[in-house]
Amino acid sequence: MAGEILRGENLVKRFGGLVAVNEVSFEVKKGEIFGIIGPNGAGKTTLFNMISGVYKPDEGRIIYEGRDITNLKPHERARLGIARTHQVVKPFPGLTVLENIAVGALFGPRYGKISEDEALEIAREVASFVGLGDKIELPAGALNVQEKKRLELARALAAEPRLLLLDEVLAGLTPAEIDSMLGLLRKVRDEKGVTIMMVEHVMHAVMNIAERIMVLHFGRKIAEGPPEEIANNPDVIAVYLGDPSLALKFVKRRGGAS
Amino acid sequence: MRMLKRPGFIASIILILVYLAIGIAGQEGHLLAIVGNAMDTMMYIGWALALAVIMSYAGYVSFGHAVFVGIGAWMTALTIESIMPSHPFTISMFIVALLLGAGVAALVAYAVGWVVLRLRGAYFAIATIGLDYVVLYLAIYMLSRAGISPPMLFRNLNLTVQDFYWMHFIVFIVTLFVVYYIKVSRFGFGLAAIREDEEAAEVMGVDTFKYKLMAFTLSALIAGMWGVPLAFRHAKFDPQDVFSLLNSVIMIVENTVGGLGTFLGPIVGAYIYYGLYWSLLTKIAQASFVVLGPLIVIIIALVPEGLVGWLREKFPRLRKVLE
Ligand SMILES: Nc1ncnc2c1ncn2[C@@H]1O[C@H](COP(=O)(O)OP(=O)(O)OP(=O)(O)O)[C@@H](O)[C@H]1O
Ligand SMILES: [Mg+2]
Repeated sequence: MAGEILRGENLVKRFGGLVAVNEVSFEVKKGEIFGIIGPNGAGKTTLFNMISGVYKPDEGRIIYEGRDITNLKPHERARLGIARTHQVVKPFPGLTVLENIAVGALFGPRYGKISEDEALEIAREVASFVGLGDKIELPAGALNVQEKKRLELARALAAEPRLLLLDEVLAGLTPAEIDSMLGLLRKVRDEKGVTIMMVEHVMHAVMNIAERIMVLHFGRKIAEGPPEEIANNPDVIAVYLGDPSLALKFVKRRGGAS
Repeated sequence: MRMLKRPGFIASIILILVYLAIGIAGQEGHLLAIVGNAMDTMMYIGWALALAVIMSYAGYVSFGHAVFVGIGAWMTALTIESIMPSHPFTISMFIVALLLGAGVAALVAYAVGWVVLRLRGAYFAIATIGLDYVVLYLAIYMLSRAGISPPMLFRNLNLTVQDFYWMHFIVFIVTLFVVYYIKVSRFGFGLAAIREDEEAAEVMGVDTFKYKLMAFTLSALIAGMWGVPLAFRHAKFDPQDVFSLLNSVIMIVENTVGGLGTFLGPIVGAYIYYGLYWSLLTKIAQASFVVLGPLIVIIIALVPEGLVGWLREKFPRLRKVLE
């Protein structure tokens, strides 16, 4: 399909007897913000792990920019422009914030094309872009959780990815911080044209920013569509949103934050 | 290049100048003792930096790393006695031994690493101890087949202390620059990422397997080089001596005491180790290792992040200097 950047075809991932992701197919368009929601244990992170190459799917294929990447190693996918953040943050604790971000720049799609000094320069810019400009010399281990989340985002952005996978970057942030992070993400998409897939539990935020949302439940895809549709989908309400009036309120806030 | 203005580079230059001065001043007979100490410290720094590439930079402890020093010494024996048996000593003999020692050590590491670096840390650590024993017995076996009962003494090459000194010095310079360059290059960034979080490194685009293999191979290559001046200096190849587990432990201790993840840490660790060893040796001779062991355990217990690591933590301003 034209304008498509990523396609999952019948993806299955099992852990022993548990089917964490069960025949999930989806496609993401270039430049869109694609939300993934679902209760705890629904298989969202597992799906990200398959896209970034940490897990190999037991069945199915992953097509990225028209190419089958199912058998590529994680670092090969990173070089093709797929970057991600981790739900449980994984900074390089002993390296400084600047060095952490520079690793992203050096080893992303620009691998071999930029020097160490250029990478540090890029890291400086990206650090201030995500609001870590005054922390660059600190070891990453000394940051608080919120700052570590920003660092994860910065490392991923420094790579100049074409597809960005965000696993709960908003978790634990205050409403003001969520608004500023959403503004940041919109900027990333609008100015750099990065396609974003985001797993999110902060419902109003994902309803607010995503153009389309996929809902997973016990590893299966139970719905997909624009936020308004998802918020009114009875299956989704039953398993996830619980309270339809609350969900509608979230939708009404759409456009409120920027 | 910003790299040339950095503390690690400047420290390397200072070290080289100091050892150059000692080498020149050492022509005077009464300075021979200092020349000996200087040679020892160059060697201990060399060992420490060799292991640092894989242990301190990449976070993978190689417990039997002396095996590569031993391979270097073995190849030196081969060069002197089999490959160039009738040559008087010339610089070319030293170069052949270096190429062979470093090359074979690197090849062995590449082959072993290709198998065991697919596994995570613990298997790798055990593997090099096993390798050390395999090569030790192989060396003894090969010597006995040639009708030699170890140690194998070299023919007289008419070398002086000064000759040994400059051999150490050449290997020392190569070691400092290679290990420093690794640290500040993209390769060094990748290794640091692997040390800090291997999965995150891989996801960010670091070819973790290739980098670990390269680090291990380079680390062995440098250790292999150090076997060459060692063998020339002692004019013998004694498998029990060079493949001894003690030498491997010394390398690990130097890195741990100095502090992991930095270039200066292993150097500082080497001086601390040698300082303790020397001051104890001159007082209580044989008992020195009995005292040295517990002493080092105490140091590591008190400053687990190593001296350089501790300074960096205590005085964040020093971070820029103590790289
Ligand atoms: N490495 C693993 N080994 C075994 N089971 C796993 C593994 N990773 C995930 N699982 C299981 O797979 C299921 C899906 O987990 P996953 O982390 O993908 O859920 P999630 O949708 O991201 O949940 P959350 O919202 O809590 O982050 C869970 O039951 C989880 O326990
Ligand atoms: Mg998850």
